[in-house]
Amino acid sequence: MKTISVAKDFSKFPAGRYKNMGKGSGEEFREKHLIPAMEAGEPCIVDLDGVAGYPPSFLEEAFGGLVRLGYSADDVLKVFQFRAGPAYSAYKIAAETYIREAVPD
Amino acid sequence: MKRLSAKQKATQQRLAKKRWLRRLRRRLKPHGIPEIILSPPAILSFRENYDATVAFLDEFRSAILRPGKRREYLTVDLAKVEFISVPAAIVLAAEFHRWQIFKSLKLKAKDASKWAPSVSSLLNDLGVFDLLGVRAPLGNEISAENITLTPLQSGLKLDGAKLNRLQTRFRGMIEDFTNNAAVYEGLSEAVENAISHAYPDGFEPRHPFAGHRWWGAGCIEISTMRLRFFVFDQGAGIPHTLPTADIFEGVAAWLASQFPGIVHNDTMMLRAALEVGRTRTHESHRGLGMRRMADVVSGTSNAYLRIISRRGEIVYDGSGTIESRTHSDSLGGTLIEWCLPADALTFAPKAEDEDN
Repeated sequence: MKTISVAKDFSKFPAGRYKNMGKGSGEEFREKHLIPAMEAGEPCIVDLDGVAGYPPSFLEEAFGGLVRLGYSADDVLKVFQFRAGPAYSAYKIAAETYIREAVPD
Repeated sequence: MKRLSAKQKATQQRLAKKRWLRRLRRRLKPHGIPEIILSPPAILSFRENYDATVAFLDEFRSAILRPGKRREYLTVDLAKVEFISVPAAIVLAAEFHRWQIFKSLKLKAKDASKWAPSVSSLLNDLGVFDLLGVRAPLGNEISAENITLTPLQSGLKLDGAKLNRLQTRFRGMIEDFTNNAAVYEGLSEAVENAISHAYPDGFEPRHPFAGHRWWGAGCIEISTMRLRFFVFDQGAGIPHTLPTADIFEGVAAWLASQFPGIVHNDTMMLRAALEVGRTRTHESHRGLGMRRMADVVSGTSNAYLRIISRRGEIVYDGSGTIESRTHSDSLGGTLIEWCLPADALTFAPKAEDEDN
């Protein structure tokens, strides 16, 4: 199964909602990694370990943003499985919550 | 090359001497350019001397950002300052930075030998001289309060690596210190708010904005072993921008229930934003991130989050109590401060702390 490591494949310092705010935003992560994975339709592991932290705006835009774009929450949760050590387990729950609570635009 | 006759040589020499004398006279003549000297109060501190500190900052802004092309020398006489607090130094440094950005000036530290050692040391540690490209005054002594600061960071974009550096400096100074994810997230939310909300389109500021800029710094007070982190912007202020935030519906309802039938001042607006933001069960889409900012100190004893914005000030402590003050004058932006005991971060979940 394909693994996307946020720290190794994207940034150790994820921050911000939109690309115009700077590098490492939720929108950028979604476009570079999550949407291609959704389009491929193959199950994929998102490894959350190893970053400085996950500001809620980053996490919400990356994962909740998929639902706003039109992907169903069930499909998103089918494709992505989260892997997180004890220090990052709260972010796994947060990401899943953002997916379930996002409303399509 | 054409050879000059003796007569021509004498003429050239006479003219050169005349030019040299004219230049010398011009240099010695009073230039006629007026000099404005701004004298800050002896105590520059928002906690100890808010009104005088803010009045000086306002006078300074008005002097440096005056429209037109009038030539004048402007001096800020820091020799008069006996004490400067860290947050006041950050706001002052941000004003120096805006001055330099707008006027493209090369600033100079004048009579720095007369400055109080603590003032000079604090500004030097904060990296104010590096930020402005000014030669640091010699002979800095360790400040009396024994404060160690991270260099001031500033930007127009959100840069996670820069924010992470505000904590990394404390590794090695505090045993078992690890960068804390909650602090990183709180700083990140504050900077994102500064960039995307603090400088609204269509708002006519009293003093022009230096872009959607933020400033951030951190410090440790060795005597009390407290860590403090700061984010400052020169924007319109949270009470002004709150009505466009998506939590405003909740804020308005909270204000109506708590303060019915009165005009809501800046402190009430700040308090409402914090109360509504921190009690939400999840961060909303395009919310203010207020909950995450409060989370940094929530449940930690001797910790607080302080927000000064426009004329309002609130202090939220780790036990959930909120204290507020209303000031007569506006700070000229928003200053957010987190203060927490160093040992609160010693055994925190370890986050990645290497800059990549």
